[in-house]
Order: sequence, then structure tokens, then C-alpha cells
Amino acid sequence: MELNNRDAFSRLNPLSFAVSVSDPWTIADVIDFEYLLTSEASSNAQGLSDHERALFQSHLPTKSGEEPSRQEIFKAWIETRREGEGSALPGEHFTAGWQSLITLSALAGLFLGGSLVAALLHYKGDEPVNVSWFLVCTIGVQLLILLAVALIWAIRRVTHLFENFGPLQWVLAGLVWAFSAGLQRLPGEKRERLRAALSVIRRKREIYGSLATWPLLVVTQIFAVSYNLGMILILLAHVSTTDLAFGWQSTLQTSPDEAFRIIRGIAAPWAWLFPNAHPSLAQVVASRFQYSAGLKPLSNAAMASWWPFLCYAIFFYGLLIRGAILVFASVKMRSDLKGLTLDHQGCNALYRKLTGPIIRAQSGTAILEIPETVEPVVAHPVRAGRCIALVAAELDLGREPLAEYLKESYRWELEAFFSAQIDHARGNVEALALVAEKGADLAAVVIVVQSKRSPIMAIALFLQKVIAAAGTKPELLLLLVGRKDGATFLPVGDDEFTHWRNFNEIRGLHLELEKWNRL
Amino acid sequence: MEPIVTDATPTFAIVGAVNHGKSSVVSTLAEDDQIKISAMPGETVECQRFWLLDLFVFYDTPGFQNALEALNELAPAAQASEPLSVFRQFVERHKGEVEFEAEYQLFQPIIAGAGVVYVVDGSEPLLEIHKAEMEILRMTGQPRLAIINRTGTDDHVQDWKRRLGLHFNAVREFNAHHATFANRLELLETLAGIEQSWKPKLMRAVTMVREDWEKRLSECAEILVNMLSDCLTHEERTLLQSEAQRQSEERALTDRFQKAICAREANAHKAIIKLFRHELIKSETSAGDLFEEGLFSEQTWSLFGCSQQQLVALASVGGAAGGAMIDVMFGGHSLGAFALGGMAIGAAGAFFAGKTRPEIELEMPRNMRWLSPRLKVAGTTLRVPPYAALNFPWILVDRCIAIFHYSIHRTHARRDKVRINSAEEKAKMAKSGVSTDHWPAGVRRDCQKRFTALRNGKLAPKAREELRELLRAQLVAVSNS
Repeated sequence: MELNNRDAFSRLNPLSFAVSVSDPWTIADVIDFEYLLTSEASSNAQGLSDHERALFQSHLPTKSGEEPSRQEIFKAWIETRREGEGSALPGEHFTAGWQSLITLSALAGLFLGGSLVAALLHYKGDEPVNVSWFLVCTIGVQLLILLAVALIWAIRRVTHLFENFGPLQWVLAGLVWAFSAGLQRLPGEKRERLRAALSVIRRKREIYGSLATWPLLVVTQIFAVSYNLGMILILLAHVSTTDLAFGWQSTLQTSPDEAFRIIRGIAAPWAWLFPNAHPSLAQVVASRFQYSAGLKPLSNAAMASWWPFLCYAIFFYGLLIRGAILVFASVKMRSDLKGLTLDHQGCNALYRKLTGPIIRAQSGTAILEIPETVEPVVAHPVRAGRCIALVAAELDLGREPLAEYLKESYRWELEAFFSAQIDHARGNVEALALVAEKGADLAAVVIVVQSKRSPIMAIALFLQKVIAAAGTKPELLLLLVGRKDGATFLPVGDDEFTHWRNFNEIRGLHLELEKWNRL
Repeated sequence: MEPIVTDATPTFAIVGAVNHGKSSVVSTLAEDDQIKISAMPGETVECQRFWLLDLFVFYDTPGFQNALEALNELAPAAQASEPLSVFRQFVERHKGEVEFEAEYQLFQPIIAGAGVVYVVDGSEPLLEIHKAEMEILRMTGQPRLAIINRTGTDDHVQDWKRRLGLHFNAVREFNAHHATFANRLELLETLAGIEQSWKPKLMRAVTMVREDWEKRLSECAEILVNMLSDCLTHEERTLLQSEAQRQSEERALTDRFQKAICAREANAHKAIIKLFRHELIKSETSAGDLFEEGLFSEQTWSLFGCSQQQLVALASVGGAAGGAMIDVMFGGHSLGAFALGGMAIGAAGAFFAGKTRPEIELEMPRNMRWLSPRLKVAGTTLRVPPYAALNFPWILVDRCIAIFHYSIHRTHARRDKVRINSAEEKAKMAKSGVSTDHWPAGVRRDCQKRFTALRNGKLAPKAREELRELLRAQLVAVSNS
């Protein structure tokens, strides 16, 4: 039943849920994906359960000879999780809220546009409706707003004047500043959680860029389209049900010729299409209103000849432009969604989990085994290749077990192994030089740290150096290892993982963060 | 209230690596359980000040975050004639910089002349970054004490000791989560030894802390006497409206009596906990009881109070005393027969009752007691008289001693909720020899006499004072255990 509802949603709305995984991503999918990714990051599960994997496989598109794309794999995972969740995910709430907002905007637009025109057409019989004022109020204001936005956009493109114009960022920065004193007084756990959450919001804006802008633009343009539609409908209703008289007036010594030229200029976009595109010169002359003379000298036919022109003006300068922006925003939103690379922090770990070999723990033992019969979904889950490992000096971890683990779990060949002083940014010169030299050819740089170590500023500075040295090509993985207990390492504690995750966000490192729980 | 700090006031900055227990040490030393402590690294982000009059000031500081880089910049301090000026320049240079935010904070009190108390976790391995921290602190040239506070099971204490010895005036082990009052005093005395000019004030502080402790023990004894007085004399009454309601009224009255006694005992427990400055202690149970078992539970009565032998001895002494009074009435012609009889009856009663809890009995008012039930009319009063069970005061005292024992051994660095298991706590008390069944027999006898007088409402002020002193002496013994 729920699926049927979603199906109906998806036909109506590009932002809604889609049942078929071959459907493109929606904003609701993105929201659910981020929500699920966050909970997945702290999960200790090594992969999907049998039931989940079967569901996941059923959601994957069957294309012969082609491997499913990242988007398809993640979409299938989202669908699997949606079916597994007892309650609705945030994406569904977003869709419901967004639908309501669209309906409200459309209704508000119709009502406000209609009200404005009804007020402007209020005609007592002693003075005709002022055409100039009607045009200024109906389309003049709209065009001015559009012009201002276009101007800011052009200045932003050409100069650096509005480069840092980001109202949301300002609000966030303001909030952080306003609450900074309170933040210091909060218990550490809450303080770090809040700081991490604010960093995450900033980071998500960086990742998804304008994706957050399009839904907002769609809503405002739906309002604007309805607003113009409301104006046209009420204008037509008034024309057909009341005896309206339109006229023009001016204190300036404007001649009817000049007024006619302006009107013809305004009507240029539709003049070739409609015979009654604008009043003729004679009609313009006959509809000039002067208080001293009153209504008597004006021609009734001339005064009535204005309404089609006003209708066309609202249609072409209001409705059509807004409609075009609405279509543009919808198309851009779809193309942005289609172009999502989904390779940011946390995605690779999930991708490996979904596409790697199935790992099962036998009951009664902690040993994990890889059944030989089960093939990975994708032959090469994430970029295979060589990697460099920087292992914290205090960690008693040899090259061999690490190489084996990286090979088995990530398909990375360990090219170089360094014992690094991770709390000394200026140290580790040799290791950082090699990372910088080979960064472009590497699949990954792995930093192995003991999870119980306190994530301090010195470590953040060291990691920043590694990030800078590695460049954008290799994947950067921060691998957490638990406390040593004899010859083995204990699993990474949830609290320790949370501390490192918050640290990763707050310090803006955005490294892939994973637990090594198989030692 | 702000401290009256002068240049002569001994001031200490508690510094160390992140999450090595600085705040726990401060919390324990200052007996302040409102200091923010958590397992999360970097809980403390600002310097916090704690003081005792003008006798000393402690600064709890954020942990070192970037010691190796800081050491690099502070290296000239090793050769400088005025090392703190190099630290001052460092602080001015890095004001507002996120890279040295913590160092900026923690150097402030040191620049102002504070001595250094460097806290390390003996269960964590000694790393290069810790050596850098020690080197930085050595270069300050300020009086320095190192505290090894072992929080985990791993043991790296010897490694730490070897290295700390090279950089600090004194090195002490101090477990902030298990430190006793004596440990705290010892640490304050050690602090007095690292700088001669601070010694007089710090020794005065030690004396003041000791006197304060003695005062608290006296107050605690007073709380015990008050509670005993309340509980041993408490009675409940209700008006019986009809004979048909008798059973339900009796049950309700007994419940009310038990609740009233429990509330009085709980108030005494809270007062003891507050006396030892545990402001944030909360019970783990929803009902708010600190003990897992209630005062009137069978387990409580089997665990706490005097043993059966001791009860027999106490009862026989009581019985003999009663009998002796009758002998006196007979002018000695009975030749002590009543005393002997009383002793035998008392001993036999205590022996057969054992350590089980006697039922709470209800009674009619004295003038109605002998009437047949048929003649007992509505409107008569039902009464629960003061609870006469021999072991009752001993159980009350024992449970208070358990709370006292727990309060003085629970350091202010702990933030967990309280849930005292009677058997476990009793075992700890027995091990330390502080529970009432381990008291000297003479003390028990003296106490019993006063309990009896208290119950009968005949405890003279002097005897009350004596009881307080008897209990105080036992609290001192617990405190020293």
C-alpha cells in the first residue's frame, strides 16, 4: 500500500520517492541516503544480512554485460533499508512537507495575484483604470526583482563582489558565534556533537552544492506562476462580468504618439501573433484621461480596447518568464541529481560493504570467514591499486598483517609502510614526501591510528598535511584500531569511534573513517 | 565568593595531556563533584579556578593539544634568564589561533606565577608528545609536582616514574577515583614541600582541612543520634471507625509506620552524603533508595546489625538489669534471683528470635487492651508503638555507617549513579572492621544502654552527649580504616 502511494507520488513530482531503482535519484533519496550513511558509519556490521542482501539484489537493475553504477547500487541499498525500517525515513517526511509547501505556494500565489488585480480593477465610474499603474503593479515589480537578481548574478560572475554571499553560511556562522559562550559551558559530549553537526551541515552544502537551492527555487517559481495565473484569471473574470474602462494619464506633456510607441514596444513579443496585440494610435488618443475633462470625451470602445494588451503583458512578461524559470530549475535539479558522484566521506566504505565479498561470522566464534562460492557483486569495488600506509608510531602493528588486511578488504597493494609520529605535523618528512611524490598514482593513503588515543589538534594538523600532500586523487582512509590485548587488538569502542568521527567533522578533515575490527 | 589571592597565595596549574585525568584530580582535591568530567577527550576547554580561602588556588586547565610544535617555539626559554617571558611572548603571538588554543589557556596561570602539577595517566604509554610536555614544563622553571593517576588496567607507571623524575621536584601516585582523605592530605603536604615560601600557607591549609574533617565527623555523629532518636521513638496512631475495617486499617497503619521510619533514615543518609560534599549523587533506582534492599527487608536484617551471639549477650545484660531492679525492690532478699531470671529470659528471647525481623505489632490504648473484641467499639484508637526489636537501632546505625563508609571512599571525581548492594558493602565494612558487629563489646553495651533509654524517652542530655561521642569514636575508626 505504501509502495503504491510512493508510486503515485513519483508520477506527480520529480522530488518524490520512486519505486523502481532504474528511476533517477530524488531529493528524498539524497536525504535518506545521508541519514542512513550516518547510522551505517558507526555500525559494526561487516556487510548485509542474508535477507538484506537478497532484497538488495532484487533492487539492482539487471543489465546484461554492464556493472551497476554507484547511483544504482546506493539506490538499491536505500530501497532495501526503507523496506527494513519500521518507520518512515526523513526523506518521506521531506516529500510530504515539500508537497504541502507546493500546494500552499500555488494557492497563495493564486489568491494574492487575484487579490491584487481585483484591487487594481476597482472601478467607480468617475475615473478609468490607470493602465500604467496596473502594468507597474502587476509586471513592473516582478521584472524589477528579476532584474536585481540577474544583476547580482552577473556581478558575481564577472567580479568577486558577491563571491562570499551566502545567507545560509551567515546564519550558521551567526548561530555558532551567538552560542559559542553557551557551547563552552555545555558538557563535552553535547558540545562536540553540536559542533560536529554544524560542521556536517557546512560540509553537506559543499558536497551537494546547488542541490539545496533548486527545490527552493521550484517552490518560489510555482508561487510566481500561480500569482500570474491568478492575475490573468481575475482580469478575464472582471472583463467578462463588469463594464471596465481603461485609460492612461500623465502630468508630463507626453504626446499620444510617444505613448503609442512605448505600448507597441511592450507588445513586440506578441504583436506578430495576435491582431489585437495592443490598442491602435486612435484608441490611445481616445483613451487619454484628464481630470479637467472627466470621462465624457473618452471613447468607450477605446477604453475597452486595452484589456487584451494587459492580458498578454501579464502572460508574456509574468507567466511565461516564471514558467521558463520553473522548467529550468526542475531540469537543473534532475541533471544535478543525475550527476551525483556519491564518492564523498563514508560513501566508499559503504560501497565496499555493498559490493565486496560477503563476510559471515560463525556462531560462537569471532572469526570471520569468506565463503569461496559467493562472488562479489562488482569485480572491482573501489579503485584497486597501490597504497601507502602511515601507522602511528605507538601502534605495535607489523607490515605483514596490515598488507594482508588492505589487500583482502580493499584490494590495495601496500607499497610503502611508515611508522609515523601522528602528533607532529612537522615531522614525518620522508613519509609525506613520498605521499606527495606518488599521490597521483596511488589508490589510497591509509593512516592507522589507535582508537583510544585522544584526537588532539596536533593530530589534526598532521592529517591536514597528509591531505595536502596526497592531493585529490587517492582515497584517504583513517583506519582505527582497538586497544591491544596480548597478541590481538580488541574491537574499536563505540565511544572512541564517535570521538574520532566528531573530530573528523569538526576539524574539517572529511577522511574516510573505518574500524579495523578483524585483527 | 572570590578568593583573597595575593602574591603569596600558593597557586597551582593542573596541567597534562588530554584525557589523563586532570579534572578528576582537581575534583577529588577540591571535594567538588560539579567539575565537568567525562571519558570524552578535551572535556575542559577553559581554565577553571578552585580555592580554599587565601591558602591555595588550583587551576584546572585544558590538556596540551600541540606540545611538539609548542616546544619547538619555546626552545629559547631553556637559555633565557627569564624563561616565563618566552612563554608570555608565545601566548601573545598565538592569541586567538586555533592551533594553540589549549596551550594559550594552560600557560596563562603559569605565566602568572603558578606552580605546576602535571597529571599523567599511568595506564597510558609514555609517548614523544608527553616528553615534549615535560620539557615545556621544565623550561617554565616553576615549582613542579607530577601526579601519576592510573585510570586503566595497563601498567606503564615505572616508565612514567623514570622519566618524570628527570623533570619534576616530586612525583606522587594518586588515584583520583580511589583516593582517601589521608591520600588527599598527603598530596597537599607534598605540594607544601615543593616550594619553601608556600609551605606555611599550605601547612595551614592542611591543618584547616584536617579540622574541617574532624568537625564533619562530629556532625555526622549528631546526624546518627538524631536519626536514632526519631526512629526509636516514632509511633503511629489511627482512629478505627468500625470493627469491619480493622484489618485494612492495621495494614495501612503498619505501612505508614514503615514509610515514616524509612523516610527518617533516608533523610539521615542524604544529610551524611551532603556533609561530605557529594552534591550530584543520584540513586540508580527510580525510587531514589541508595540501598538495593529496603530497611525492613529480610536480607537487611540478616546482614546488618549485631550477630546472634552479640544479641544474646545484649539481651541478657538488659534482662539482668531489669531483674536486678526487682531484686532491689525486695531489699536483696531474693538473692539476685530476678536478675538471673531476667538474664535467662532475655538471652532465650534473643536466641530464639535470632536475626529475623520481628513483626511490627499493633496495640490498643492501654485502657482498652484487655477488653474483649466484642466490646471494642468504633472510634477507638489503633497504635503502632515505638519499634522495640533489639537489633533495630543497630541496623539503623550499621546502614548509616555503610553510607558514611561509601561517602568518604567515593571520590568527587566519580559521576556514576549510586546503587549500594547491602551484601557487598557489608563485606567491605567487615573487611575494614568497621561494622557494628566488629565494635568492642564494651562500646556495644554502652550504646545499647543509651538506645534503650532513648526508646523509653529517658535519655538525659549528658547520656545523649555520651552516645554522640561513642558513635563519633567509631566514625573516626571508619575514617582511618
